[in-house]
Amino acid sequence: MRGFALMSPTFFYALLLLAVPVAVTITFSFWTQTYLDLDTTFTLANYQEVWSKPIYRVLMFRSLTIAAIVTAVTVILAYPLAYYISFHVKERQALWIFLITIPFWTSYLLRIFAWKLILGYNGVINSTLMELGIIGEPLEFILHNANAVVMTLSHAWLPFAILPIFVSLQKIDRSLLEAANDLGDGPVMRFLRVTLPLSLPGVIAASLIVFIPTIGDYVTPRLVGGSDGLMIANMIQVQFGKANNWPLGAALAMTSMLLVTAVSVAFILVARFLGGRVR
Amino acid sequence: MSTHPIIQVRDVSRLFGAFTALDNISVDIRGGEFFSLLGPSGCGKTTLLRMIAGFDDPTHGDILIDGQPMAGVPANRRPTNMVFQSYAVFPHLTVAQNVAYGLRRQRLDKAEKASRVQKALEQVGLGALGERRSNELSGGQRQRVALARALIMRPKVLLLDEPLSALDKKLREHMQVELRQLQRQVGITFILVTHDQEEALTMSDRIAVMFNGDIAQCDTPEQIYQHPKSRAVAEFIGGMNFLDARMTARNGKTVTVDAACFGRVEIENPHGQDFASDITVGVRPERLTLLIDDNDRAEHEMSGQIVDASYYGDMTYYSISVDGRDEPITVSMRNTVGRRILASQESVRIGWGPESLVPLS
Ligand SMILES: Nc1ncnc2c1ncn2[C@@H]1O[C@H](COP(=O)(O)OP(=O)(O)OP(=O)(O)O)[C@@H](O)[C@H]1O
Ligand SMILES: [Mg+2]
Repeated sequence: MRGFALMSPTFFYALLLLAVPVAVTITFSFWTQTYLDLDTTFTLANYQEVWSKPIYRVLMFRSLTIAAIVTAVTVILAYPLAYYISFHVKERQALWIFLITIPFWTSYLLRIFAWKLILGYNGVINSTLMELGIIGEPLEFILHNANAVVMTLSHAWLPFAILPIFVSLQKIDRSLLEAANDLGDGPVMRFLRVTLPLSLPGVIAASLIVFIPTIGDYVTPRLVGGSDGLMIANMIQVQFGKANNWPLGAALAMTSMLLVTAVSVAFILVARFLGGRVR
Repeated sequence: MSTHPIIQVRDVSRLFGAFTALDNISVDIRGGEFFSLLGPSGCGKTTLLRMIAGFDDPTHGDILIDGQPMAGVPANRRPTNMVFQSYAVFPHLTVAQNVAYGLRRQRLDKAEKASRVQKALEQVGLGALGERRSNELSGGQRQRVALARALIMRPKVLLLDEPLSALDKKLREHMQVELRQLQRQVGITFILVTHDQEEALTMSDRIAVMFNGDIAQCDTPEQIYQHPKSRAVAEFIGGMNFLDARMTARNGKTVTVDAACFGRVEIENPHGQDFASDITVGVRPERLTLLIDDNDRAEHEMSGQIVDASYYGDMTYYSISVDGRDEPITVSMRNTVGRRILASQESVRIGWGPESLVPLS
């Protein structure tokens, strides 16, 4: 009882911040919006709508695809950086890690606007290429579409992905690498058979850290995504805002939450399985 | 045992910045022998072993394995395998997978591979543990996995970096015997790094004693123990009484010394060393005898008084003060049936012969 009393402040704090909002969202998702009022009779109608209307399916699928691409791009960029710092920087590794985070001291929104300036119609890339005469008119495909979302988000998540990978690489006992060498492996085989499997926990952590918030992001798609870069979170935002249909928004939110959970669990299982098969 | 050197270390130095970890070392290691590198912490044993394995390169000098210069040959192409001090057992693999790790390049079929792994595991007494994860193993079992993993490669030379230092005393002594038997059985050259003198003495065919990046003496265990070249070697291996003496004559394989309380004696100089006229003479405690009965006799005798007795079970070490020397002399005595332990203050006679004395540089 005493233990519970000691624990309870943090417990209630967590309850308030996590469980209550989720519970409220779940409850809303079973209600119906009737113009200005809420009909509180239990119904699955919202979920039926979410699963049957193509627009939601398209958005859901696009969100998962973009999040998967962002995750892949981020982890593939982060791994070599983390590897380099862990294995080739002999002194002041902490300083390097610190330097990598510097661009992230500015606000998230400012960084998105910076990307708009770089990628935009009259942006840095287009005007430079036009000045140099490489292109005649501004490139369209780099802003207001899914590519721009991938680029912006990958950049935003990079340091968060570097850290867990770096930590897992740091934890690898260097004599294991020498042992692999000693037993006949060259650098490539040694990487595939020892370094990569042993850094897998870091890669999994990094992937989830990137994947989960990307699904829920609605600011980046709104600002750089154009119409074919819009994602499910934008639709949820619309339901809670302009459309004023909270129950439908809640059902969309719950559905995407379940999907993210399912995809994440599947990802962990597959990664573990593949990792366990490396010999 | 062949006599052609499997490993030749020629004038090898290794500098880390301004620090000299190995200073112009040369040594030949013969095919099939059990060779130990013995020395205190930081003397450069691991550094030398790592250069033979190919994890590090000499700053100067060459290492040849089986007559081939090893400069520029990476560790994965050398006919050596290593048992690491930390064992370096792969944590993400099972015991059998660990042992099979190095077989990948040999492209064996599954059955052949499995049977070789099983054989290697049985060789080190782990036959039933193939499917264990390596984090479910004890220290001694890990050490055996590391050993099996290296032996299955059938290397020309097996390098062992303090493989037993993490084990408790009982297990360590057991493994010493096993390792030695295994080495005889497989006939592979073993190079063992250790800072445990007893381990080196009991296991090796030859020992190189190292201090501060240099090999002080390279010889058989008997030679190292009975005829250490220098005081440092003698001090590192076993206990010894040291006496200041004057050398009065040197004659081929003997020197004549004048040592306090031993008088003038001609003693062997088996290494034919040169000495300054101020020389140190060493006497092992078991090379002196206590003459307890009145009618016990020895070639030479001196009398003294017991200061202290340390009882070790099988042996007793007596500190005995003698005339003409400030420090007591240590004499050891086997506790045979019926022999009593002498008490402090008792007067005794110490018997010795010229062969008890060793000249040291
Ligand atoms: N990479 C390195 N950089 C600088 N100095 C080093 C390096 N490796 C070893 N040394 C130094 O070289 C000396 C010899 O080291 P080494 O590891 O060979 O000792 P050792 O005889 O194996 O000792 P121990 O019994 O403690 O393992 C030590 O003084 C050590 O500090
Ligand atoms: Mg060492």
